Amino acid sequence: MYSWVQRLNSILTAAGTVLGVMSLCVALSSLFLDVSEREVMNASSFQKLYKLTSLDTNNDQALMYLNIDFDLSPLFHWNTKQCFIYITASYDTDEDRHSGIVIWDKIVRYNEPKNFSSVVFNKYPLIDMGDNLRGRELTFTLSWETTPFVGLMYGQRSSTNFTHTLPDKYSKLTVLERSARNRLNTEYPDY
Amino acid sequence: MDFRGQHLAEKLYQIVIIVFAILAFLTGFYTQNIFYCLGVYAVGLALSLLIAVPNWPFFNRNPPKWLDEVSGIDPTPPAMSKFL
Repeated sequence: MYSWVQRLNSILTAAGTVLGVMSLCVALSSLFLDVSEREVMNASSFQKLYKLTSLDTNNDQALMYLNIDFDLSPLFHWNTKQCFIYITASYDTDEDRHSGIVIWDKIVRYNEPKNFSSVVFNKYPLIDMGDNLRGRELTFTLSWETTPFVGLMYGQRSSTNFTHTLPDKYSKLTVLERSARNRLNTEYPDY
Repeated sequence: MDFRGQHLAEKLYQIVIIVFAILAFLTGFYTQNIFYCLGVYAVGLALSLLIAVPNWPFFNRNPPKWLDEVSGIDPTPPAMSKFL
């Protein structure tokens, strides 16, 4: 404490340590303020299938519209920075495999509106490794990962989900899609 | 700063920082806004810097009492005279 530089050093170091302890208390307060997934309102449903086709690689692809309606405000306390919310379409295949594909996601920040109610289209296409999507029942689950200001991230799944069964046949291609498919299939010889 | 002043400065900044840390946590928790917590803590840090870093007069109220100067004594001790 003999010079102002030494006092400045001591004060800033002490302030840093106390800030660390206070951050630990903030992170521990999250344990009391976090809510279970039942508190989050999820009223989403299936709207319409856009098309179910077979790609050139003989993999199935499904594109669809979904009615997304959720309210994440119970999750946002003082230590929540943002929530990454995503929709997974999951199904079982004949080959004893369970597949889950993320088809839509959104980042909800602490200074943005926490509810969302709109029709969404596939942000990421639902592509199967094979041709297992015809007649398949898909289960759509809403999940989220919460990023705090201080502390550990955690993920939860909504307690309500909705399902939809895909048709047994592929959708009819448009004229343009069919001509493009024919052109691609005939122009590349086997090497 | 004299010795008592240094002791006082250290105690002052420790108390200010800890009190403001507690106040900051309570403010943030009550308003559910983490930026209020950090703001109150920043105010506490600035206040502690203002109180303890500059050499204020109230830190110099107990200057150390040095002995009086004694005249007629050779300042070089006899053991050191062989080095002169």
